[in-house]
Amino acid sequence: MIFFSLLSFFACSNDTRSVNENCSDDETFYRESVAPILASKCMGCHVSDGIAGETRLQLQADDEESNFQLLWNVAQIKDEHGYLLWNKPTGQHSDGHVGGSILAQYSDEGDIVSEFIGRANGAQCGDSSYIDSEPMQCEDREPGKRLLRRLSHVEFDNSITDLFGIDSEWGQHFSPDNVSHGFNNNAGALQVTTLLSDQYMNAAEQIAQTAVQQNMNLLVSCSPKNIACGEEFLLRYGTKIFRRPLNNDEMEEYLSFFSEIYYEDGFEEALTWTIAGLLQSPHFLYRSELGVKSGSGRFELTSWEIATELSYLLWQTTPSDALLEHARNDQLRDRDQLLRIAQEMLADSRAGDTVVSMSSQWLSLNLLHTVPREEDYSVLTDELRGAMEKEINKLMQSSFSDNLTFSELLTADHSFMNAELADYYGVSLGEGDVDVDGFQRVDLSGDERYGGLLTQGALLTINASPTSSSPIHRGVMVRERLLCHELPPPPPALDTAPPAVDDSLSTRERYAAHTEDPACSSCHNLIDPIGFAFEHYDGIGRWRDRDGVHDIDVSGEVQNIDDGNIFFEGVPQLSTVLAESDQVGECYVQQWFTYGFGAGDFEDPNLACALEEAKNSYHEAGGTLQAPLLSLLQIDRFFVRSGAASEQSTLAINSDYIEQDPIDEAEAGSTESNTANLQVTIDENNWGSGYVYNVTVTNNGSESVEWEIELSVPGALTSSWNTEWEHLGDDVYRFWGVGWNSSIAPGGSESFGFQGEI
Amino acid sequence: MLIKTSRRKFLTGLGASGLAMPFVRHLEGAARADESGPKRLLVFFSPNGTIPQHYWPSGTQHNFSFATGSILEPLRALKDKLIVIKGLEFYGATNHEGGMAAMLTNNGGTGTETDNWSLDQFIASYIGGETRFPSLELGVHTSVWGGSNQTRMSYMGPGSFVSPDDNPYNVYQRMFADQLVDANVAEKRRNRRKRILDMSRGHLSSLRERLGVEERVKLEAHTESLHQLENTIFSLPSCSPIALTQGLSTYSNADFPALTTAQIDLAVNALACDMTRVASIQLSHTVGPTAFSWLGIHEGHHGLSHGGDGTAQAHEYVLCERWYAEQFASLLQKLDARPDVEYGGSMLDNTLVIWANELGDGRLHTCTDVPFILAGGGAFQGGQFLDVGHAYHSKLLVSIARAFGININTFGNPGSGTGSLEALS
Repeated sequence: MIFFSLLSFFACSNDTRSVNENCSDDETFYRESVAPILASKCMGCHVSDGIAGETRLQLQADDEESNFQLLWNVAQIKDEHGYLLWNKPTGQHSDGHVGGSILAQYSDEGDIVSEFIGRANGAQCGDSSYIDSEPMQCEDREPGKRLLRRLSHVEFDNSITDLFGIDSEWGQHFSPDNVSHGFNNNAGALQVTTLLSDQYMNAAEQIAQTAVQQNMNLLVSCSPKNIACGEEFLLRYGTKIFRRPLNNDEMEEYLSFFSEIYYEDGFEEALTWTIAGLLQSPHFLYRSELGVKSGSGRFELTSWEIATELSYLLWQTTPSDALLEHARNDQLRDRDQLLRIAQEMLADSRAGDTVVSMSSQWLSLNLLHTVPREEDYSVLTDELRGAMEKEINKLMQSSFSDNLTFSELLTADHSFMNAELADYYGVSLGEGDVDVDGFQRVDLSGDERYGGLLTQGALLTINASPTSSSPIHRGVMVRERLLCHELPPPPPALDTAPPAVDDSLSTRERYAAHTEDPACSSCHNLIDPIGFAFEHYDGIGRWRDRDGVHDIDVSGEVQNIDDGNIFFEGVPQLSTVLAESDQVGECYVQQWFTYGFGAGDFEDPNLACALEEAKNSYHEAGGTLQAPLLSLLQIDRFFVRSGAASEQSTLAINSDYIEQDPIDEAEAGSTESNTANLQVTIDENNWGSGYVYNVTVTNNGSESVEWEIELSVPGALTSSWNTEWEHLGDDVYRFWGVGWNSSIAPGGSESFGFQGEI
Repeated sequence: MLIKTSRRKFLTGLGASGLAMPFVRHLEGAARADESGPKRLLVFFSPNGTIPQHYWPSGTQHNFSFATGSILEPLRALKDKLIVIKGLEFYGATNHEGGMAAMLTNNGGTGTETDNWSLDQFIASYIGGETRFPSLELGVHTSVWGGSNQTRMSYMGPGSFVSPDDNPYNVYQRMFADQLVDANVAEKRRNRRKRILDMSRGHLSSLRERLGVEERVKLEAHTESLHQLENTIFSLPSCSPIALTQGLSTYSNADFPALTTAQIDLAVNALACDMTRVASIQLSHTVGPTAFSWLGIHEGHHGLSHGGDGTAQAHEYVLCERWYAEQFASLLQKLDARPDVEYGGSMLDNTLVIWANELGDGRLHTCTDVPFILAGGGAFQGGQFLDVGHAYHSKLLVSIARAFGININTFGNPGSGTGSLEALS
């Protein structure tokens, strides 16, 4: 048996890496555990015609025996810093590694390489701690970086709906986001591209127009509809849209924009454009998790930020008025109070929607409507696909609101169907109340075919091919989504032609080569024996007694689960095996963590330690379906962030904005004046031998201008930002804008700066 | 201290020329609109590699033919305008994802000559400055799986994808929206949009000051996108809207052919109307599961790509690939039929078109002998079948960049050597 897990993590503080008495021989260990790592990480370069073909590690694409011998020898090479095979790929070697750091020290791949080096140097087999890495410590870890998290498209739509009382589908038509670690809400991956900016702009304008036309009374209650009324809107609605009160600068800026349009085109138009502006501001588009500096690199999130974090985590939407009120009273930094509020929120059906949304990515359920199903499988109509989607969503929602355990979900003895779906599966509907969708709870306790998460038609259909079942897809789904193992791609230059459809062989027989050919089996042993369990279900989720004319063999094995291998027979037993595994439960927490925090790089020890905290909290709560969510908001990461001393706190909020500079309607309305008036303010920092100037140019005129100024500057300019410049002679320089700041709107200002030496 | 101010009145309605070019990186570049050579670039992509024996022409460099039944047969009529290049391989890259990432970038990290920009984006950063769109990325079924190294081919730096727009109606709106409203309304709207962009930029800059280095990158990308958006807003369209087939569903498998036609038509028009100088049409993505049901083929494209020699799967794969060749032919014909009002000749004469793939032999997951076909553009002599032996495709990327007057020595990872593809010159 092999002893490793591809991506389960080091325990944090008192990690004792056990030595397994049940060891494979060295060559088997190499073939099953080390070779897949070589194939995915090393063979791009370390082959005879590769970039690293001249090094001591020159591998052969098709000769594992000689690769084993070579690696065995290389594993013994040691210089003054330690083993080459360790220091090179982990990026610790003083000469560097041309391919970069490709092996994480604290990862299961790291453990495997460590054990291999150990074996090659005479250590006991099964000792993954042969290489003496610094033990990982979870004390004094950073809770997590300060972040701006762009709204996901789902969050965008929900926020719009809740802010303006209109249905929003704008977000779901935006350019799809990048998928990272299985989810499309990764904080680092969510950026604003040109295409998305364009879509944000059009959506914001349409949303604003719709909201003003349909729901003016929701937006403003004041009368008459004048500038003061616009100001009231900004005070009240600005807070909702930015999830915090606008500060003075922002109030003035938007009010001035509002006023301009008010005088040109009246109240409705002014309100529309103001909303369009607010919705394109980064303060709406990004969730602030910046915090307020509290010393020694720690930043405490404000109550406003916590309200936002909580609301998007549990309900995927903008904070409710009640939550904003808690934030205004600064009640959310109290962790007990926060937990109470969270528990109330979990009882709401919106939390069930969150579970559905998370699951659609976790299990790729969002593909259900687009996977092509052809020939005999064209009986799977759009309606049936829709019914399958509802089935699994209802199972998820009800299990969540009943707070079942994750194990109970895997082995559930019931599902939810309408008459068409039950007929399709060949299941008897039985007695039961029919819900608004025409679905009812179906008892499956006596059914040997259906029951439990894994037999859901949606899941079976997604993980199949257009015209056949696919043990590979189903095995990979269990491996990656339920066991949290990352599988490497097939090694290069290997003929990966899957067996052709051949009626004389069963599907299982066709795939036998995967587990017979050693080049394939090292990975496919982890996949196929799980996937075979599902052979009673065809490519569109229907039960079949036979595979064509062939008998079906559903015996299988889950390798490498909770540090062991377990044999089983069919999906019901597989479900039980998974339900009883700690690893599966913890993987579920990991999936929620990845989704909830938008962070999935667990090679970052700070993140890995935070995950450990969440897992502990999950176990304390008894492994229920709600426990992962609650665990996320009981750890430090939810409340505190870390940052460099030079970083600044979140924007100061001036929550009692007072109209300091009342706008004289008559004056603001006279826009005929052509006098441009550029005001220049210079902030100078001079230290004798050098200086930095920050210059602000303000347009006090009534028309947009392109600015250009000349300044006398001591010494020589060495660098500049946000400006173009030219030296006119002596100490005089001319400065002008760099495109985006080259023109200044009336009342607006732009800044630039430069640095020089004397 | 002496302070003198002067002002130039900002003239609205003059279009992009009133605003400085948003691109920050390549202002010093050698845009060569007044010289010979291609004026535009169009990248056409289809996935999952090929079956060599059904793909490559037979014959010699100047005397070659596309066999009956072979993948390239649909391009026979255009043969004199094509350069089919055999023997190109990706440096240090294999497999679907590796090939997809390397195809237009050659995996250049930060600090390389091209900073891991893809060929299309890199060239757009030189020649895309004054058009409505610096570049226009069109796709068909590229985003069902979201953005990842499987589904994206255009990059603006390491890991920084440029997403194609899979929805032709959306592209249509971006291209023609201003013409669908009254001119005064459009102008007022432009000015208000500009005000909003300025406010957003101010907010981005105040946020940026509070952040650490990593988070700043995110905001800089956002700021850059607003610069480009501003360019789009202020450039006045020069063409009338075209007719599109209505009622297509972006992710419907059955609509794949009609979506392809729509995106080809939009791309040809965007180029012909000078809305952009650089476009791409990405059909599906690596590992793409498209079922070519309109050809009576029901197994997914990627599944078929692994069919062994002589199998029914391999036969069907050839039919799929021939369909892609037909789309490429149709694209070239549409460009050729369109006069180039600015530079004379046809649009094809001045547009360098590249048909790229991310794998060589799809069954082996290797990036050797990766098929590349060049067409049009005037930079290189058409009607050639070049067998370059074993050459890294980065040399082809260098050749193409140089054809646009951008004098670089390496494209992407410099480990693949310097210089251009000699056989091409």
